[in-house]
Amino acid sequence: MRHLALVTCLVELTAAVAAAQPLPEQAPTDFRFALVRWAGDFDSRASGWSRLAWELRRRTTIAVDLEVAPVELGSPALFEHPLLVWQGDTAIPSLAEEAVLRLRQHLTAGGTLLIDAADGLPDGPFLRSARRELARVLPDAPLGRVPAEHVIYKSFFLVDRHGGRVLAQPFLEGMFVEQRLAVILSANDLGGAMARDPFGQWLYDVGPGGEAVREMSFRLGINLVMYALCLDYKDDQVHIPFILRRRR
Amino acid sequence: MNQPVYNDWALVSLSPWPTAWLIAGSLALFAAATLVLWSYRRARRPWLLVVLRAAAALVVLGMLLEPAIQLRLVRRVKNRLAVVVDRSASMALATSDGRTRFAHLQALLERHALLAELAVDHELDWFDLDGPLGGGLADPPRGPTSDLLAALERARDAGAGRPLAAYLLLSDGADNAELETAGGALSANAATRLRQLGAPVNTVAVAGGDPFRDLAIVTVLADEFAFVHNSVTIDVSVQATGFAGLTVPLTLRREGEVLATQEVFLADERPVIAHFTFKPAEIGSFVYAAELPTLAGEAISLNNARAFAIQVVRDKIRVLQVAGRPSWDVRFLRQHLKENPNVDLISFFILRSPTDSPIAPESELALIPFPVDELFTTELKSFDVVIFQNFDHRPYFMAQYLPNIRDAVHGGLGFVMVGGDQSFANAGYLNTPIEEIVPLRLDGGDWTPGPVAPMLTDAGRRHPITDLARGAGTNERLWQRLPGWTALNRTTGLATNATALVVDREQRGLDSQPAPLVATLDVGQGRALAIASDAIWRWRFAAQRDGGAAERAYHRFWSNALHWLVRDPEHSRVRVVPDKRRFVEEEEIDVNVTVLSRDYQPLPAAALRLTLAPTGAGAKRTDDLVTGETGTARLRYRDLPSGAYRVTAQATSGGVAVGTGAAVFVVEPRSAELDRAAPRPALLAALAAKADGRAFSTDDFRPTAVRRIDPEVVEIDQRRNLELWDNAWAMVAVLLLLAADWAYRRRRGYL
Repeated sequence: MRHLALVTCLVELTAAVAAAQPLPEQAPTDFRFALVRWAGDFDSRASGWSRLAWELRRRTTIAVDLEVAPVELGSPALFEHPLLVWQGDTAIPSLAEEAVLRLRQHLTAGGTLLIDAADGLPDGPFLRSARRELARVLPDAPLGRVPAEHVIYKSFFLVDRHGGRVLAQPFLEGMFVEQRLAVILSANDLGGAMARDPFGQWLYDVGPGGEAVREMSFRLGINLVMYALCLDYKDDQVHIPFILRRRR
Repeated sequence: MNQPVYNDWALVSLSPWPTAWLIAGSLALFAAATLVLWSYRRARRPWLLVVLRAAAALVVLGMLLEPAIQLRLVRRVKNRLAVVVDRSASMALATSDGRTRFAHLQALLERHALLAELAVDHELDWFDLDGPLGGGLADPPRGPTSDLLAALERARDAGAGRPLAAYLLLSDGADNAELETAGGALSANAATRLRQLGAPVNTVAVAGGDPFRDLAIVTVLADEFAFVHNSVTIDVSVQATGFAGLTVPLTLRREGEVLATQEVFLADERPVIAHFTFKPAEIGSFVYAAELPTLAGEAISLNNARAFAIQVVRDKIRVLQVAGRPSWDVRFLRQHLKENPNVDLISFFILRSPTDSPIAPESELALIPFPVDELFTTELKSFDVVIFQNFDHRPYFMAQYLPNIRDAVHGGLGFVMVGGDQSFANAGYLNTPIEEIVPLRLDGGDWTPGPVAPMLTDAGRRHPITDLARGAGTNERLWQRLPGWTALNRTTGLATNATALVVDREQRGLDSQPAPLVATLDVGQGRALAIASDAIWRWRFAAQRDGGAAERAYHRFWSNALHWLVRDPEHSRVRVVPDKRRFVEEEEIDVNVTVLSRDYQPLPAAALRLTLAPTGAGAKRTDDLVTGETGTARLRYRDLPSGAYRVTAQATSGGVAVGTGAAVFVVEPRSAELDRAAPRPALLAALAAKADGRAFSTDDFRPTAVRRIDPEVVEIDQRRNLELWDNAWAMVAVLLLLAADWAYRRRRGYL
């Protein structure tokens, strides 16, 4: 608890300092968050992903476009965006075969899909239907819990807790394609914890833990992006002694 | 008429009676004599009667058998005596009196008139260690090896079944066929083979007592192949004869350059093994040599050095990928390299620059310092290829390391600069050593997003990097179908001597020439590649739009690039392969050359120029060949003097250069014969002892003392009987004996 309080103070202090600094200029980039457009409310957390892009630019070397791009699963434009975010809070209608095929091609070719439940319900209609469709997309890849020692928890920050607007499920689920985590599923409304209104205010309160949990949301989001861009880089042998020392 | 000289006799019977009758008569006589003598058993003085009757019986027996002495003239059938003369190269070595060992052997044979005494009873078959002694004893000894036991076996087998009396081996005993165990005793195998020789083995030790001083590299144990950057161990066996308690420097060289030196202590005359361990840093065929100094008074200096060839191959291509920031281009290249089983990848991605604020203490970050010092000093040589991917060196204070990178490329390292907003002219490499190894000019330019349409240049149509479809026609069509890129590092053009392989179809560089997208540059022993975009990943990820052709093109592009960068001999289009890597003087040396076309198919009618050059001093030799239908050609070298050689093949086809290939091989002097050239009388004595023979020195040799098997077969040509019996006189003797017997009995009152 004391640790959480310390993180909260630190976050508030550094956020204030950072807010006073202008975001460094950045060249155009081919990396942006692509929100899967579907029949449901696909972009209610768009500002959250945009804010995550802003934090990526501030905290890391990643060049990222602050604009979020909508993309349809059946569209050839899917291959402009190796990282897809699929969010919602209602049941997904059954996908067309062409959409299933394209999404399968996307994921097996190296793409990454982040599924984020805006309703914060692990067994809610959105995630239930998402699991159903994922089973069609990758029938040979079972959806399971992402191990705590997976590189996604150390790809930039050392993360040992889960962020999100709610703590509905204290772990991530995922599907592996040839040992690469191709699908990541969060039931905790990660986008909601990062979403802001046009005036810069947080759109939603976060659950127990307050701002520290919101910070954890950003850290987990940054780690997810780092994983999509660097894969298992932090599992390379050269990094292991440093990481083990810091985790002691 | 000359009377024959009889040289044998025998006791024979001249009786005309059949043998059965003789036996029956003898038995009847014996029975009668016994019966009579039995009747005398109660007589007072029977002995005289017994003598008289027994004498009479013997005389009658003689009458029956008619014994005679038969004088004979006999002739023995000579059995073979195999004389094995050591004419190996070690016999040409001088002894302390200035004469060669072989001269001592010749003098011995002259003293004993070529073993005339033995020739009386035996047929002398003369051999040297290689077989029947064809050229006589006048030719100088030049045999390449000394396998004494095999020589004796050859002598045995050459007799076509004729019986053997013995072997006589005249040698210095400098066998090099490992007859002995490590302890010096004859091996079990040698003992078995000696027993199977079937006749005593006699030996004469030539120069056995002569003082011999020599320092030799006996054997070098090294694999013909080694993996680059992996440890290689070479075992060098050193032996000193006549130099007990000596410490000598043993040097290992590569292509004349000293790699390592060890002090070797030789306590006695037993071989000492020195181990050298090193990591070859370059791919290719290299000549290594182990060397000892030549000491005063040494009998042989030729065995103080031994050269050998090692083909250094790569197990994996070691790649260092340094990325200025994570991006899709970085990620897909990493994925390709990680998935490539022939690549050993070390990645360093800059995740946070000095200007970024992660808003977390270091302890909560999984970040490590960028180990520039280690990477670009001590570890740089362990890489085959270094990739700077959208990497600006300036925030990391790398200026002091840039010369190392340039020098490493000159020494054979492959270097790639991949574009991005922090690359080429934007990365501050102008007027640094890196400028020398980048195929594009860095004195101006920018990074521009926008559509880019890659197009092959003339050079690109022939270059292995851009050969994505393995076939010229389809390759160009493939390039036209590949997805375009989305960003370009516009530059001021190609660097001096660089070659553009791919340019943009429409955009021009700042020099008004088509903007180069992919360019190459040869830098000393190394090679450099520039990719003026960070959007090649779109081939990799856009693959699913076109059935996978673009994805395959992406993999092939990088695979081709890596192999080209490291000058992989396995991917060379001109391959030079000698039959062996180690030959012996006078051996014929066949070198095969294979030439492949751009699509790696055999290339017939390619013109080849082969240059043979000794690695040390010496004249080069040039030969011109043409490949056959199978794309191969063969050249045979004869009579090359001992030494190490590099053969280089330059191939052209239709006037266009195809490439070059090279290989090395070593021609050794008759070193096997000179490695252990010290006389070994003890070995000869052991051979003789094990095979029931006798061991001599040249001083105490006596032909008559040679142990041998006598001839077994005798032929009778003439005979004469000297009769020992005259039946008339015998009859008189019988009558007299019987009369005496009658008179004696009468007198004694037995009648």
